[in-house]
Amino acid sequence: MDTMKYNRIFLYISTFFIGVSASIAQAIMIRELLMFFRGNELSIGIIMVLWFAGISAGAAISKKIQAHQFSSIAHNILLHPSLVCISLILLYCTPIFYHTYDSFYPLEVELIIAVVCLLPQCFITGYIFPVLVNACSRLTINNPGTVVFLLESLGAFTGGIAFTFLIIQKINPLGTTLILFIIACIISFTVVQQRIKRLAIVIAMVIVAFAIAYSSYVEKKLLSLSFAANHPGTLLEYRRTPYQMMFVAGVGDTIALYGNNNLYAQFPDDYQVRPIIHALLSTGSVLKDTDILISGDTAFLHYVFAYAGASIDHVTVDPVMWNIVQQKIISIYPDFPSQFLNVYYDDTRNYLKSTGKIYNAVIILPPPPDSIMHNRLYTVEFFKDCKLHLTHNGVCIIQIEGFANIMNPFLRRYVASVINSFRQVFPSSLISAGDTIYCIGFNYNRDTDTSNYLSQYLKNFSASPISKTIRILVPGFSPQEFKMYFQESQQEYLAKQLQSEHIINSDLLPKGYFEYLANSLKQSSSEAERIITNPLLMILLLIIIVILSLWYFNSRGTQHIIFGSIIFVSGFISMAAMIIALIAYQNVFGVLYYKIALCNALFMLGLAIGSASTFTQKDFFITRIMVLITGLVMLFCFTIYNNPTLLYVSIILIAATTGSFIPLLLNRQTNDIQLLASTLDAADHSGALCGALITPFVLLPFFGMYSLVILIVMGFILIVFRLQNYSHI
Amino acid sequence: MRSVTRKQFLHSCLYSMQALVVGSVIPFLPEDVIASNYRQALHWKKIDAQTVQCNLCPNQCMLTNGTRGLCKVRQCMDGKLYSLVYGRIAAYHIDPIEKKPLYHFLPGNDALSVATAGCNFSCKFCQNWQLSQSQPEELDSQYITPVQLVKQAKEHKTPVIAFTYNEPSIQYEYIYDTVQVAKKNNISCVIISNGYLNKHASEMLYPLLNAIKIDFKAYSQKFYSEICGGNLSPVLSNIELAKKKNVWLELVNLVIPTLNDNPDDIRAMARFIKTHCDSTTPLHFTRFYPIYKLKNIPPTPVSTLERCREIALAEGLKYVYIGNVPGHSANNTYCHNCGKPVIERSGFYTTTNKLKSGKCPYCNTAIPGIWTL
Repeated sequence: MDTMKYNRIFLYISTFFIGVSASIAQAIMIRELLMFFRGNELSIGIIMVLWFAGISAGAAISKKIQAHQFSSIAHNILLHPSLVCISLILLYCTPIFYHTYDSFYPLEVELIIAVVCLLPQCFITGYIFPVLVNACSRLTINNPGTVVFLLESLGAFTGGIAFTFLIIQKINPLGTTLILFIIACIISFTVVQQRIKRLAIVIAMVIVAFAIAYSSYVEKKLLSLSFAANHPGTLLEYRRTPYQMMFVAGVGDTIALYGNNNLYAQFPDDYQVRPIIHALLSTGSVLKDTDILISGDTAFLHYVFAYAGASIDHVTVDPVMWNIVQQKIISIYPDFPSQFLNVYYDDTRNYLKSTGKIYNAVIILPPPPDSIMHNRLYTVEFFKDCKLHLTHNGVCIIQIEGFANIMNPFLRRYVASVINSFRQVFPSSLISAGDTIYCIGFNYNRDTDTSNYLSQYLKNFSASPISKTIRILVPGFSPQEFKMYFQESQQEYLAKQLQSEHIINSDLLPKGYFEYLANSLKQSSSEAERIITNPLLMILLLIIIVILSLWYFNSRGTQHIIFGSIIFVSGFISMAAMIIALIAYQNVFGVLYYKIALCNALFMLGLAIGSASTFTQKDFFITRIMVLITGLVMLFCFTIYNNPTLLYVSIILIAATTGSFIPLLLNRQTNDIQLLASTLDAADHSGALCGALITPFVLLPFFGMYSLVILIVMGFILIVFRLQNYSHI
Repeated sequence: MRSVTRKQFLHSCLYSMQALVVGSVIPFLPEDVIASNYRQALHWKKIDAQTVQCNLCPNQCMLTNGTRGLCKVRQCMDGKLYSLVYGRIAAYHIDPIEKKPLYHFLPGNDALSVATAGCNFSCKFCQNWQLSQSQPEELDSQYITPVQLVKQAKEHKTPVIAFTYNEPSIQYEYIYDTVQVAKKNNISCVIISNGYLNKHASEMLYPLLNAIKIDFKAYSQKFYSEICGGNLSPVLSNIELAKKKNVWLELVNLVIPTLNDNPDDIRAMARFIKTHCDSTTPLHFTRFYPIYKLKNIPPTPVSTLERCREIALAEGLKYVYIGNVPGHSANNTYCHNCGKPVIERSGFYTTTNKLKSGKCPYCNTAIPGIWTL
């Protein structure tokens, strides 16, 4: 095989591999970092910002270093999976060295962890792109920008699909990165000439092959140590399910269940769910022959209601978690009448949409709305779904995090948004006050004056046929207890606070979620919290990045400013749209955990299609922007109509458009292509960085899903810019 | 498109940035001190023209002009120390007295419960963190004079005023003045405190109070310093002092899994109470629920609380309760002589009070406490 052809093959394979490696690394790091950061969207924002900052920096630096062609490429493709592996180990070890019982790391610590884990590998990804473009150009490959972009995107798409449907089920993250390293070794071996380097590669491959065999053991050990460092009790088991990383810990004679490091439930939970028992019994329910839908991790509630003769449908999304809960239920309550319990493995909202069943009571015990996925169980749309499945005298009971004596503005707005949404659907409702707020919504008109309601409950319970059974099942049970949650002065305070807040929590405008997040940040007492929750400072940060970028482009010439600006804006739009798409997906379908890689893969497929479309002579610039706008409109339609096809196609269209700009502009370049590639790659990722910064911290909190309208407007601005300026270049 | 020179572009960017910086930073500028509603503090000493030392609590903050203590509510101004929260009430509720929890003090009655901002601790499990970890100007407050507060207690028919939620002693001057007015109007005053006060301050205040509930957070200096930001020793001294001054005293230990539930520490705590107070001092072991900065620690297993109670009873303490576990039999008061239930509770409401003039109706044993006004 002649040398030129051999070198080309090496380049194609390396480019493809970098795409695969970067895509898999991104999926792994997002999942693992989300687990350590307790999995909210601010964390996604931080991760994306740093990801693109690293790529952008790598691309910018790349121009200055002379490409020594293949050895440089070989070193980078070896370095990339190595850095990912090291980052993972550092991440797993962090809790061992940074020991805290705090609920979450301060934002500053999260940023440092993310910087250390992400920047090195992202830097490599950004650095190598211009080098590959230059190498292709030197090998007289036509349209080098298109070729590199296309191959890298295809590699990223392949990596995303492989991760979603194959890797995630079979191999742990450490093992995955080690396998990538072995593949990189094989590729590098083909171009490395020196004998000693070849020997080193072979030895490394052998060692890593052994390490793969022990990667599960190492991961288990590290995770056990890091769990023990930051959680009480003894780690009994952990499972990596498609939905989350689950930990089960023994604390005294109880079991604590954690999902992605968030405490979900403790068993037995006899005392935790007593207020729910009160809530249902106070409605006059006699439980026997009652159909009840329960969503939430509980054992005692199931036990009491089933024992009393109710038929329970329990909805849970994670079969692995349920298996553990069920075992616990059986061990605590051996006489549990399981014939009364039906379990459905589904997201609660999806279940309600798909079932035609009607219930006497729907009881929702959601986790706190610290992610958009959980917030969907607190929206007006969800409450409407619940109401549709109630009998004419049915009730809906939910619990939400409340307040101890006063509320700060964030907490007030969060509580108001949920209660207002609940009341909009259930005008006849009873709302308690205190550390936990219980909302009882009636599907019929009913006197909800608190003192009358409680008096009636006290009076009727003793005469109720269920009272004897309940007193046996629930030690010390007395309806008097329920008064605790309706303390007059607390209720008056709540009512007064709600008077001034008319905010609603909806799918399109998830205001409650962002207020809850702001309240969580406030609890962390972090200095960074002041910045994150201050939109003006975030906009200031955006302006600084824009100015720095323009300054950098300007140093390279007018063409770089104009091209860089176009790519900057398209990078911003695509990243903002992608974040909104991920959040919209969670908003509609719930769990995103194992679908992140699929969404990323579709994005990469779009990039590949976009870059392939630049093989034509004409640029069709305005047509491409119209395709971008179409994609944004489709994404907006997805948030309303919830059709997944709309989402997947919109991701591909948005990516295809923005992915075509860089190759398009590169293909016009005849000299110093590496310089332009460096500028465009840096511009793309700076724009994406800004999109990742502004979207979760400014756009979404204020505009919700309507942020897409702003992006559509930006698309039209690009058209105007093209008509005004670009034609002169 | 109109062309813009580089200089013009940079100028407009600079002006925009200036406007944004000013607009975003202004809320964080320290508020100008308006002295009219502030009261000169007690328990401080002048170091020099610009510096004072606050002597209210063991933090002993050294403050220069314009700076505030760790508690956030005592500030040095013009070489003097001022309380920023005299009369500044941020939380105002009427709570059952059992909610404090005070089980042996006027059971079945309500307490007008008030609080301000700030605290001299920074407990990671603080239920009232929104109050305790806030600056006074961050909270919506109302200004209520001691006279007005006592008047409102009478209007609400609450025989007790409770200074509670956050650490009340940081509002020392206000409590001191209110107590004087309350006494004249037959209103009792109680504080729900962390016990973190210097001796001279507590010697001055405690005798004026009708009851004190002190949070005995742990019998462990490590816990106090790592989890609360304080020290154990002053708390122990104040527990002893409260008993010596014949103020009705109840103690609460919030049991947090693995942090302060060590049986040896519980035993040592019980022994301290028996030795330095007496065996009839009520002790409440209350259940922790995930809150504030400890949201990932699960609730205290009830069996742990029961074990703590058994240890305390075995050490000779007579009145040991379990709190935050509604319906548990250890919510009730049992005669220490005959063991029969004399007061039954449901949550924080007294459902049955069988005491007759403060005595067990079964065996006529005097049950320690303040049962009537």
